[in-house]
This record gives sequence, C-alpha cells and structure tokens, in this order.
Amino acid sequence: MLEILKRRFRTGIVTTGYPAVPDIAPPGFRGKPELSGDRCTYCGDCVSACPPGVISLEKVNGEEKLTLSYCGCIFCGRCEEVCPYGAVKLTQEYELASKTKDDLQTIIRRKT
Amino acid sequence: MKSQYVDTIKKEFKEFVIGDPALVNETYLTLKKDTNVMAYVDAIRKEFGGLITGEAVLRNEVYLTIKKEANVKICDYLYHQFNTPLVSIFATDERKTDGHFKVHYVFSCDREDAFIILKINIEEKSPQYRSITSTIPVANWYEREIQDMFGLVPQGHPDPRHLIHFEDWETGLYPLRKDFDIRTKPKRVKGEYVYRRVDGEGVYEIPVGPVHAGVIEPGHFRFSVAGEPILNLEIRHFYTHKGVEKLFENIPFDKAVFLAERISGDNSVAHAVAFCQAIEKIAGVEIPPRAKYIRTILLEHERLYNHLGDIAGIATDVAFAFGAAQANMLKEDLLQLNEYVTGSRLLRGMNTIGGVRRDIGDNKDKILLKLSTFQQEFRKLMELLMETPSVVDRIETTGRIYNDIAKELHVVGPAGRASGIDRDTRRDHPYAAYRELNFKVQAHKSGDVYARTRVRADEVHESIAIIEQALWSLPEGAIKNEVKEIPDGFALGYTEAPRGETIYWVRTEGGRIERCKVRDPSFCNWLAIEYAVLDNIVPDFPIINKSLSLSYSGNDM
Amino acid sequence: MTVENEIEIMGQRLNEKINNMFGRSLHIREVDAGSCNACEVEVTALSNPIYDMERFGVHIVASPRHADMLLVTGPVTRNMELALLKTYNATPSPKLVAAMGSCACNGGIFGDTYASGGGVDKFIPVDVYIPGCPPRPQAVIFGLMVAMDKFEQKIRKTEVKA
Repeated sequence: MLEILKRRFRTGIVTTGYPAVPDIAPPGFRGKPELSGDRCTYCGDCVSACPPGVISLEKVNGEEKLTLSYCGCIFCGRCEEVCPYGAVKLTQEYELASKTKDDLQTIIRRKT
Repeated sequence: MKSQYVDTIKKEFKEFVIGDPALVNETYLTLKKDTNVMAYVDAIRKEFGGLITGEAVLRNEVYLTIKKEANVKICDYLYHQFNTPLVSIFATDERKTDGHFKVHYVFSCDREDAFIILKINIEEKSPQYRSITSTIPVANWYEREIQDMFGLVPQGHPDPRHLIHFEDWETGLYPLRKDFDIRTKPKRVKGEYVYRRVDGEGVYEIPVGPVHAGVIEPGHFRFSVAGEPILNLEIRHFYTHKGVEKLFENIPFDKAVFLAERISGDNSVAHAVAFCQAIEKIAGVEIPPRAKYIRTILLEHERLYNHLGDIAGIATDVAFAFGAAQANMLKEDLLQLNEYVTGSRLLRGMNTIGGVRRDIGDNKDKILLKLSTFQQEFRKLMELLMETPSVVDRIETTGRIYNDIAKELHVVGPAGRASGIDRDTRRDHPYAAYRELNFKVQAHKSGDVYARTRVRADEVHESIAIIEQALWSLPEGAIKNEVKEIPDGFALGYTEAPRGETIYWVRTEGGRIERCKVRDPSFCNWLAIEYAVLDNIVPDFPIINKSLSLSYSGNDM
Repeated sequence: MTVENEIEIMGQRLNEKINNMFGRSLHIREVDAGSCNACEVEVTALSNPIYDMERFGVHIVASPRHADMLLVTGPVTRNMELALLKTYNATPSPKLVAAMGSCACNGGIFGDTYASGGGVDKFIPVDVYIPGCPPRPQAVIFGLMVAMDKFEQKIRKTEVKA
C-alpha cells in the first residue's frame, strides 16, 4: 500500500495537454500526403503504387486531373517513395477528421 | 534400460528434448545422432515406400507427395513417432496445371530447422479426402477451413459445421477456388447454426458477443454454466473474415507487404517479415546484414509493447487499476518510441521485399536510453504486481492448460511456453539476425495465468537484451537489396510473433501471387481457450482470455 | 487575443453544444466491424493516463443502449454487417457515428470484396471520418471534438491548377 502511494506521488501528472496544447508529431511521422502541382508530371507512378488505390488520374476534356483521397489512405508512403520528381510529400499533419468525404481530397490539374 | 536412455538423452541432447524425456523412444535417439531431416524422410520411405509418389527438397523444406488414401497413416506416423508438430494445413487449387486440388500438411522438424510437407492430390470430380482430426486434433479447424474455402470435404470429421462462412452463405461457393471472383457478392440465404448443448438441472447458457462490453474485437462466446463454474464454452469466430487470402492473389507483391501488416494489427512486423522472407526465399535473395538486424530490432520492439499491453490487460481484468495504469503508461512510452523511430506507432511501413525501408541506426542512443529506464520501471511494476495478493490470488491456478492438452492442440508462443512447450521459432528456425544473437527461451510449467504472465515478463527482459545486442553490433551497409524479378516458386516464411509462431506459405506464378496461406498463432491458440476455462468461474474468463492474448482478426482474416 | 483565451472561448462554445445535445458528456460504444485490431490498440490507449479521455467527459460504455456515439472501426465485413446494424438500431437517438481508421472510411486496403463491405457509410450514416492507419490517439481525440462541434475541422478540399 505504501509502495503504491509512493509510486503514485513520484509519477505525478503524466496526462498530455492535447488538444489545448498542440502536439506535433515526430519528424519521421507519416502523416497527410501533399501533392505539389508544380513538380507533378502526371506520370501515374503513384497511382499504380498506391496499395488501397486512393490516388486516381483522369484525363477529361484536354485536362489531366490527379486526385488523392485521404479517405482510405493507409499512410504507407509508397507514393512519396516512387515519385521520381518529389511531387508527393508526407507531412507531419494528422488532424484529418472531417465531416464530409468531399473535404478529404486534394486535387491538382493541368491542361495538356 | 529405459532410464539409461533417458539419462543419455538428458546429457547429450538436452537442448533438443521437447517435453518429457521419459516418453522418448529408441528411434528418436538414433535420429538424434543424425541431425539431418533426411533421416526422417528415410524412415518414412522405409515404412511407406509404395505410397510416396513424388519427392522434392527445396532449401529446408521437404515436399513428399503421397497417395490420397495414405494421408491418415503417414501423418500419424510422422506426428506421433517423431514428435514433429503439425504447424499448418492448407489447400491449393491447381486444376489449371494438373487438374487437381492439393492439400498440404506442414510438419515442423524443430531440431533440424526443417519442414516436411506432405501433399495429397484430390480430383475435382470427387472432392473428398480422409480427415485426420480424430488422430491429430490440431487439424480440426484447418480441415473445416479448407471445406469452406475450397469445398474439399474431410470425411469422418467429428464436427463438419461451417467455420468461416455463416449460416447465410450460399452452398457451392468456395472463395479460394480460382473460378471465384473476389468481387462477387453472394446473396444471403436462410440457414441455422447449431450450437453444442449441455443439458442438466440448473444448467443455463450465457451468450456473449459479437459486440462486447470492452474495447475488443468481435467474436461470439457461448458459456454453459451451472451457477458460476463454466461447464462448457463454445466459441464462434470469423466475424472479421475479410477475405485476405483471396486478396493476396489479386494484388502485386509490393502492395501485399502492406496487406500482411494489416492481418493482425498489433503483430504487423511479424506478419510482414514472414511474408517478405517467403518471397525472398523464392527469389533467392539474401537481404543485407544491416536489414536483418533492423528487422530483429523491430520484431523485438513489437514483442515489448504487446507483452506490456497483455500485462496491462491482466491487471485491468483483476481490477488492479493502479497496476494497469502504470503498465499502460509504460506501453505508451514504447508506442511513442516506435513512432519516433519508425514514423508509425505500430511499426508499420518498415518492411519491404529485400530489406527495410528506413534506417534506424541514428536513433541508437535514444532507443538504448529509453529502454534502460523502461527496464527499471518494468522491474518495479512486476514486483508490485507479483507482490499484491489480490493479483496473485486471481491469477494463480486460473485457466490452467496442462502440457498434454497444450501439445495436443499445438498451443504456440508464450501460452505454449507457459505450459512447458519449449518451442520458439527464433531458436528452432532462426531467421533475421537471431542466429547471431544470444537469448534464452523462457519456459514455465504450471500453464496457468500466472505462468503466462511470468513468461511474458521474462521475455520482456530477453527482448531488451536482444535489442541492445543488435544495436551494439549493428553492421554497416545497405538496408535493402533490389529484388527485380520474382520467379515462379513456393516457400515458407516464418517468424515468432509476440503471440507465437506465424507461418506463411507463398506460391508465385507469372509475377504474381498464386496462393498465400497465412497461419496466425491465434488460429491454434483459440481452441485452447475452450479447455482453459473449464471449471473456472465466469468472472475469470476475461483474465484467461487476456492471458492467452488472442487476435480475432489474425484468426479470421 | 491569446491562444488560451481562444481555447477558453472555444471550450465554452463546445460546452454549450454538448450540454444542449448530450448533457455534459459523451458516451461512446466502440464497434469493431472487422478491423485488424490496430484501431483497438489506439482506442485502448485513449483511456490510459497519458490521453485520459475521461477529462473531456468522454466514456466508453458497455452497451450501445447507453451510448450517444458509435465509434466504428473496420471495413464492415459480411459477417459483421448484421451485428453493426443491430447495434446502430439499439443506440438511442440522437446519435453520432464516427468512422475510425482507413478501412472504416472506405474499405482501405481491404477494399470492397466478397467478405469486406468497403466502408461504414455504405451501411449506416456517418457523421465524422477519422482517417489514419491507425489514427494516432491525438487524431482520434481531434475527431471526437469535431464530431461534437467542439473544434472546427481543419482539412478542406483543395484544388490546385498548375
């Protein structure tokens, strides 16, 4: 009993301040992937490498459109790994909760 | 005469003897001298020459094709005569190549670091074969699984009910047959699942699940009780069946690694490494030494946080909230360390075919520092737990699995080692860097919750020692060898997951996976819980369940 | 205005909302609809002393009949479909549903197959999606806050023309 009390006092408060105090994920964390429209060449390497298949490339009306949906993304980082131009980067961002599926996508497009 | 043998065995082959040396017979002794798996094969040839129709030796795997009618006889001989555990049974659909289904029985020759695989051919026209369950009870679920997934009927099986499919599954649809499309959505039909009944005065049933009161996975438990003691428990699982084995056949190799990680979430590394090892064996690729060490470190990290989680769970279930909170804090420390080192709290995304994806060498000091403080804290925690009478009283003699039952049901991992089964894939079939590292396999005898807790606690210290050794002797060099082409072939991959032996058998064809059989440790250990709870009281069930640390997802896939 | 002030105001607004909807607290029933158990590891972590969900008045309850919210993980397997629907129907209204993890959001790596349903929203209406494989405990806390309208969601659809 005494031992428990002793330990209890030594431990002190361990609870994090999150969400009042922001919590930044460690540097190597695999969070939200971001697309860079300037670097992307629309080669489609990431599309075929994505395990859950949440990246899609469409060609409509002389326009190329690359869509990445975070809904279903498993944050494996394969897209970043295979991209020859560094157009996909996984960031430390993890607060991705959303009320709609629509908000969970990022799109880049260009004219061909 | 017999005692002489026993003495010789004890002296000379101490490290080899599994179980009671008094049961070891003469054949066993002669075999011991020749530590070569071919001696086993020679013995089978001598005994059953005419019944063997084909032989192939690949690395440490011996494939023997035997006549379909001889399966019971030869399996029985191999299993009982040589004490080789049956570690997996699976079927393949090879109708395309030679018009047959095949059923494989995988026996592990632990002392020789080898596997003997018996194969029988089954014609499509008569999809039946003789069940071996009555002689080898381990086969029970495997045969029912094959029946559901391939439509091959084990004749004489004592319990031929559906296992994976539920009562609303349409008959005649077998997902793992090649002509079944993965996207099919079979319609639901009417049916009924019959539970075993226990009748008697005052006997009643308690159905539990699939949605439980705690944060655990779905599964159904049906207790037959008279007052508090449990007379019978029937478990019904496969609620989380996600068609993983079929999915493997439909995705490329690099994606399959991520799928393997998600078969049993808290055993991600063990599954991914087992899968990668099977593919690397097929491709004939040796991974760089640094990658081997990193894999070992990751595997041990995984064991650490899993064991801590189990100990925390046991403390919660015996209502020792303070100990549970302390254990959970230590577990959280480990998860945060994992995240810092690998970018994922559950160590995901680290393995790839040919090596690892990320180097962890830079974090050596951080890991060592964290682990040394962790070890001190953990030691104090275990002292606290084991010296609290309310904890020890609840866990001693609770949920006992005796050695003979454990052996009969092939209980693996810490649960097996707590029942005196001295098996550990890391030592018996060394992989990654385990051959070069020193560690002791922790085994206890009593087989109760107490012993399982002890085994885990001891393994935590062993794991820390392994990580320290591996970090100090981490070789320089690349972390990945490029694997360009994967030829047609088949191989076994195996690891010792925190829950026990994990076995993969992969067959590749034309640059894709033709069949991938996954055997998660929980698939073996679930059957043991039906025995472990007998004569225990209902309130002790959660402790027993937690102490066996069973994965529903890994079992159901 | 300092950050603390801002948080305080936000907290007040949230309290009002929760008070209106659910009294002071949120009771959650976690339903595993076929996850790989990684999400369960993280949900369990939410009640450890580090994250301690109870400080927000968030409890995990034993029955859906006591719950205000279902926290669903997993792609909804064929065998769990009925159990999920029954659990949903047993939860009294008004109720919230959170889909936790990538499989719950749209099937993730398990996709839509003979055994896997491909996401919770195909079976029951979902109020908040929490992506991650598995999401960190902080991400789950954030998601719960978003569901309760305590926090504004951060992510918005982005469309960039090159």
